Amino acid sequence: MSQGNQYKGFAGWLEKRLPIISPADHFFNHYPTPRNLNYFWNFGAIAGLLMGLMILTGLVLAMQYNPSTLHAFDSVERIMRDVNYGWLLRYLHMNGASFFFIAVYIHIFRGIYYGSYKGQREVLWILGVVILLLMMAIAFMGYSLVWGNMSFWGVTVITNLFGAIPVVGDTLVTWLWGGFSVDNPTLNRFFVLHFLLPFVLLAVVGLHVLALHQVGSNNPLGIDMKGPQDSISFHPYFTMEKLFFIGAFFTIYFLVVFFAPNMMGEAINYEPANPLSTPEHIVPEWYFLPFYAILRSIPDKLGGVIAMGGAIVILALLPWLDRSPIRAARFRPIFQVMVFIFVIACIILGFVGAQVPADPFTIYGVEVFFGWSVLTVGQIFTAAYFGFFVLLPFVPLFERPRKMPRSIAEAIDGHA
Amino acid sequence: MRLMKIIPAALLGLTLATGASTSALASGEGVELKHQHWHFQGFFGQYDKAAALRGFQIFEEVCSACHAAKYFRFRDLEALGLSKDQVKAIAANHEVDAEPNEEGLTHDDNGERLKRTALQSDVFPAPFPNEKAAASIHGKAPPDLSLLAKSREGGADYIYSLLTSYIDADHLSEEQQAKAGDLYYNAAFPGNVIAMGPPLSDESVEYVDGTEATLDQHAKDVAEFLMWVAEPNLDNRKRLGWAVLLFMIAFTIMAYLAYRRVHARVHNEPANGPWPLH
Repeated sequence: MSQGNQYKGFAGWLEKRLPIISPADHFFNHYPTPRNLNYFWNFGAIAGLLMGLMILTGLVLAMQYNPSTLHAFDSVERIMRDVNYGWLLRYLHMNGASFFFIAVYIHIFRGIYYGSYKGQREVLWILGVVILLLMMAIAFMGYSLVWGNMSFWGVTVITNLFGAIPVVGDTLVTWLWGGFSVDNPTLNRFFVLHFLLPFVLLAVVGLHVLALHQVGSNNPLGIDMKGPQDSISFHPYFTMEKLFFIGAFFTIYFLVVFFAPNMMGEAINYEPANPLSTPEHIVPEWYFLPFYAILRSIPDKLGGVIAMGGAIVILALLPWLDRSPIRAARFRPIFQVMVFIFVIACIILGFVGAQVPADPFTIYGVEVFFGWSVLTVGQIFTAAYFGFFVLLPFVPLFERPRKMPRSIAEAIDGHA
Repeated sequence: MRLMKIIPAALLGLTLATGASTSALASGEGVELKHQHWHFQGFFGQYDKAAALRGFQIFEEVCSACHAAKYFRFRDLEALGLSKDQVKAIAANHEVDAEPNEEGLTHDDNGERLKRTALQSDVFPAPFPNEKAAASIHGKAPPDLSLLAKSREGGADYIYSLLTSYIDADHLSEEQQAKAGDLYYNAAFPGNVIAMGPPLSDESVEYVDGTEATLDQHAKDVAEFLMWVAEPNLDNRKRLGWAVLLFMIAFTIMAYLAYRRVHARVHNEPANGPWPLH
């Protein structure tokens, strides 16, 4: 395109030769954003920023890491002790994974509560589920690279799950391992994939953002913008808000990194992998606990694997399971209660996943639920988890929505 | 609207709490930890270098007879306030495996390993050439101590408790005696039966700095040392942490003020817009 453009100076010069100024300009300056966004609309940006931080710290760590069973653990300790600021890079990366999941889980909650999967946002939403799946695969393989004893046994337990698949199960597991047990070939391929997949993730996140800009942001009222009176520009209004919120979020993140970096980890993972010594309780990282709890709640191995996988995949069906035209939970009394029960179920399943199935269920040492076993509580809340999705299609049949404003401007200004 | 602003913070707190709670489970059964106050605890906590150095003395004179600490190098001691020469002198008291000599040999004519005096850059020598050699003498190889304070639930508390929770055979119930068998009974060890006999007692070590040599003091000092060996960068980490935290707080406050100021423009506009689209 040789025609002139609206940009002056270097931007105009570059735009003529490489059209990257106009999309950037469009993204930040001509992206009409609902006036009424609340703080929940910050977690996507935070997750994106953390993804960048993970890729950067990961890149530098990979330069010092040695993916072989003989040297992996030692090379991590070398990073912690002898590499300049290696401890900082590693603690940022290790806790960055946790905070990435915190941001993404809140982001998903936001999406469900405000019905952000509706109104031509199905593809945007499915891309989000793909991002979650990729994140889980990446986090799982990253954890294995430490080659501590929990890494080793975690990998052994989770990869063994594929053995539950009928007929091809055992062959599949051998293929995944690259041998007949979790060993050097397994560690090697996990390192390669842990390096590669984040860039795949980056690409999917790009599509996610592209889809967002095609449809536009949802908002707490779940009403589409009807005109300029409903929107303000993304920059500077929301860039400034995000800057503030990112500051607050990262303050907490750094608090953990610098003052309690091992808070979310398992002590036993500071012991090198040992195939002859199984940890007393094998527990995954906290962000997998609800899914691990679902896995253990089903008495049958294959059933458990299907339930665990299904718990994530079923999210992708949400745009079709939820048949109500109203998006925001605030106008849907029954849906609102269901979402809160769903969140509570996820949190309780998190506690369940960390405890021994036969023990009485406790939260911080307190027996709740009348001393029922961890297994029983896990099964009840697994039912609650899936119950949310099963009931969803029927909710509009008996739900009476609350009165809605006609537009965003009306809700704020009192008139449209 | 206000509620929706509080919920993100609450959710964040909850998620963090759930994360932290998971690590509570791994501590073994029948373990009684004696919680101590440690110098390195808390936001301002730093290592008590004098205690860690006393702990090193215990490690050198007692623990290292059976335990290795493969990530601990002599030069690391400089971080505890020793001078280069002092470290050199400590290293000179130890021998490590020599590099192959001019003839390419690592063993002498009698099959003995060739040794040389340790340098500051050397790892503190292990008592056994390998795990199997250690196991052949002790039944089970004594664990490496360099990460023990991080790999055991309770950390320094656990090490202190372990060293001070041995119970004499005379004071054990019959059931406990039967459980212990030829081994030792320890109230802090997961499972209570431990192969290691009580390694420390009053006056196990005569402190260079004249500190009273009680078992309690020994246990505290060696736990402080082992925590330092496991996490040598803790002091630096917290110092940098404070700088980062103060910066982040100032940044967040300024970003908040800027954000409020920018948003005031929205509220000052006439209600019907048009809203500025730059």
